[in-house]
Amino acid sequence: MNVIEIKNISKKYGDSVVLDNISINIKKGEIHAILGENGAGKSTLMNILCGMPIIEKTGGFEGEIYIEGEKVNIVTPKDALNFGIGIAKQELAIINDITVWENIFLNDEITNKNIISKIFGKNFEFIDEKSMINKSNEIMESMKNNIKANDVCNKLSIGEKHFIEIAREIKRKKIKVIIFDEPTSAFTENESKVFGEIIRNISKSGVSIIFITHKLDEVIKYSDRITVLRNGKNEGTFDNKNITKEKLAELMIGNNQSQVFNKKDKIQCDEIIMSLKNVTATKGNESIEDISVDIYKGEIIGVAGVSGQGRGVFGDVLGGLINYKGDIYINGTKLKNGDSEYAIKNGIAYVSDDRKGTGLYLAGSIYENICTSAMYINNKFIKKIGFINFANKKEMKKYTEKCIKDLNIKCENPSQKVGELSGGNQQKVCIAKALALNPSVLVVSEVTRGIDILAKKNILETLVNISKEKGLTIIMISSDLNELIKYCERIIILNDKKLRGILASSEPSEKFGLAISEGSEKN
Amino acid sequence: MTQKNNKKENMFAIFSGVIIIIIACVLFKKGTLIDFLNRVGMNGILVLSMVPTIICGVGLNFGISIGILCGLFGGVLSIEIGLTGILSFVFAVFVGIILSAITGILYGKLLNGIKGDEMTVGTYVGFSMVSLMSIAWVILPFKSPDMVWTIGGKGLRTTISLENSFGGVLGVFGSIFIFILLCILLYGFLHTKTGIAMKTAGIKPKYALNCGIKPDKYRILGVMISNIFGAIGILVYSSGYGFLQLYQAPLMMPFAAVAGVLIGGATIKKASVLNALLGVCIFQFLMTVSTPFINSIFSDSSLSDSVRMVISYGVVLFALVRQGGRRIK
Repeated sequence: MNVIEIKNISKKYGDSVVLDNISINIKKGEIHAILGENGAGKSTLMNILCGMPIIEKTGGFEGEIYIEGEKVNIVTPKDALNFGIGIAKQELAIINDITVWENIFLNDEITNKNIISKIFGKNFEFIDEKSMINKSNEIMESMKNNIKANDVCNKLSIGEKHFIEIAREIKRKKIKVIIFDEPTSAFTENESKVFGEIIRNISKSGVSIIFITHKLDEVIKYSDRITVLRNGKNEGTFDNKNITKEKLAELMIGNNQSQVFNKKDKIQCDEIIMSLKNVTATKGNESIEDISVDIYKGEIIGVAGVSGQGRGVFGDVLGGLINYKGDIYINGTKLKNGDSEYAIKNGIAYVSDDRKGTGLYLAGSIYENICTSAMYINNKFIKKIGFINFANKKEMKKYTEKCIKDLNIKCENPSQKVGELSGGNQQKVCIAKALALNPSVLVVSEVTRGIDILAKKNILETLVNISKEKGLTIIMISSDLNELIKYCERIIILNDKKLRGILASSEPSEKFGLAISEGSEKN
Repeated sequence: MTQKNNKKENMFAIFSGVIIIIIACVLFKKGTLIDFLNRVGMNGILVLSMVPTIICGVGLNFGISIGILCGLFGGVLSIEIGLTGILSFVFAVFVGIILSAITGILYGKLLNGIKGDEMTVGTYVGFSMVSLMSIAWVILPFKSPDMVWTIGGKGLRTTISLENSFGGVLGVFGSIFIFILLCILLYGFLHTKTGIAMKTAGIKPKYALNCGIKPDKYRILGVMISNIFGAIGILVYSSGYGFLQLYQAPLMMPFAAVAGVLIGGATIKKASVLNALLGVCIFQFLMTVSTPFINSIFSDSSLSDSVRMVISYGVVLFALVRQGGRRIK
């Protein structure tokens, strides 16, 4: 019997189709994994099931949802709860300063009636602390971990907090489906083992589980059936027994051997321009650990990985924006920790993924944006009067006009404000800014994010051409694996904070899929 | 609207403003124009001292009292060793610059630790420094009979006459000349490599870091320049006023300076030399003209002073409230 039936669901954000005619059935008591790469539409699908407001705000969706055979209309998260759909999100919804049982029963407390509540209604009932604590301890025991109901949450590890989140869902009596959104990303090995047992137990009691992930190992280990999403399309639903890991990987990444771009001829150059040794860094909740890699002169090397696995940190480390442990050498010189000035002086130019925040000064003119950095670091565009270095605006504008021509930036004149340009042209200004520094290594992060297809192609080909002409080494960090396969020679795969492997772009796509999605125990 | 049109309109506004001020001064009362120019010269540098901190991203420098105290100390020292005339002024400025450069760097380092709350912290740093120096004025072993209390012979007086040292040595046009000179220097500085780096650091620290500019370094530089201007400013002010005011006098001086630069069109995040120039002119014009005017309405009271307070603090309030306005960066 199907607990949930999703029929022909489509969803668009603006013009981009995120989900395209998706149908999935979830059986009662099964563990159903939904597997997909970044941007495959996993999260959107879950948002629809949970009635997240963002779906309504962006124009709703097409298609139908049936719960136990009845057509339902889920508009708010509360509707979803009433229909018996619970969700444990990737980002924790835990209040750190209160105890475990308070978190578990927040806004769903067990209460006792009293005189006042008889008059004024349910909101005035007394809270039954004791039975809630007992219930919490019971649930925690059933999960086989030793979290006490009276522990304060900020002392717990992130994995343990996830258990609380799970406890909150399974305590509900009429729950039918629990959705886990990338639950294991923060788990230790032991925790993820326990997690496996827990969801197995839950499913045995008749509750279905939807399990969203990009990790192949877990899918194979935990789930009964697997649905693969790619680019918003359903690539098929399979029984766990009838499918291999390699096949899943291929379905997830897609076969794209046909569309190979005319890469530059392989330069037979063994000269190492840059080498990272045991680099460890953290930024927010993203981090990289112990990364060692050598980069050769003149190559275009890609850095791939699912979001949150350290891609963003990688760029910021090279650009000198954040501190790190370990050593980075460029042309034999050791970089100073978190010193962007020193990094740029030694020939690393960084185009940040945060284009509007870090990369550009939107209220400033194009020439200011392009030339300020080069003026400061390389003493370009300077007019000396006496011993004082004045900025030479005339030369800046002249250089900018050349950039506008070379990179084909669409604008009125060099003095136009960057904020008035389109996304693609802004990105070109960012690249021009980096190129003005005469770098020997160019690090570009998410250079095509939020840019239409034509501009994307234009920018990437420009980069490849520059690399060809000037022998520039390019490190291309991107969430779009296909793009990297198309333009890069080697690709560094980051997974679970660590370097999972360096693959040549000619390798079959299933290999990429495996490297990106395999769990950490494999290595 | 294109930039050129904008500039034209600005120039027109300034030009007509100048004409209005001159006509008003001439029509109003004899000597008002000189009085006005005198006030501009006296207060101009203090107002100008707000510009570097705003540009480097620290915001309005409510802690300018520190620079002021350094300047006062220079002045006191100059009297103590018995210098007279222009020499005593130069010496006072020299000592003031050195002290304020040192304290400016320390104060800048402090402000780097509390990013986001510079203005609140700055106000209290200023207050506490003024109080600390109040103790110092009493216990420091100054001997000059021009300055110490006549009874007891210990501790400095609250107001020290500059009759025998640098009082009035600059004259009205001397102080205006120094003001204009500093304006030009600051304007020039903002167009040098270092100046542009400082501007960039102030506009958007993240962007600056990406350009290879270390924002913290330039914030300290901005605070230092502001502090030095504060020291020079108070000496020019005292010279024009004829007295050095110690103890609680520097307590509220930052507010007048802040009001001045804000009334000239600066905001907490954006300021230029022109803002300071315009601001001090408008502010002092209001003072010069309003005081006798209000006095003639409420003849037997000191209401003019209250009205002045309303204007200056009202402007500060207005600008602080307005800072939430949307602006792309």
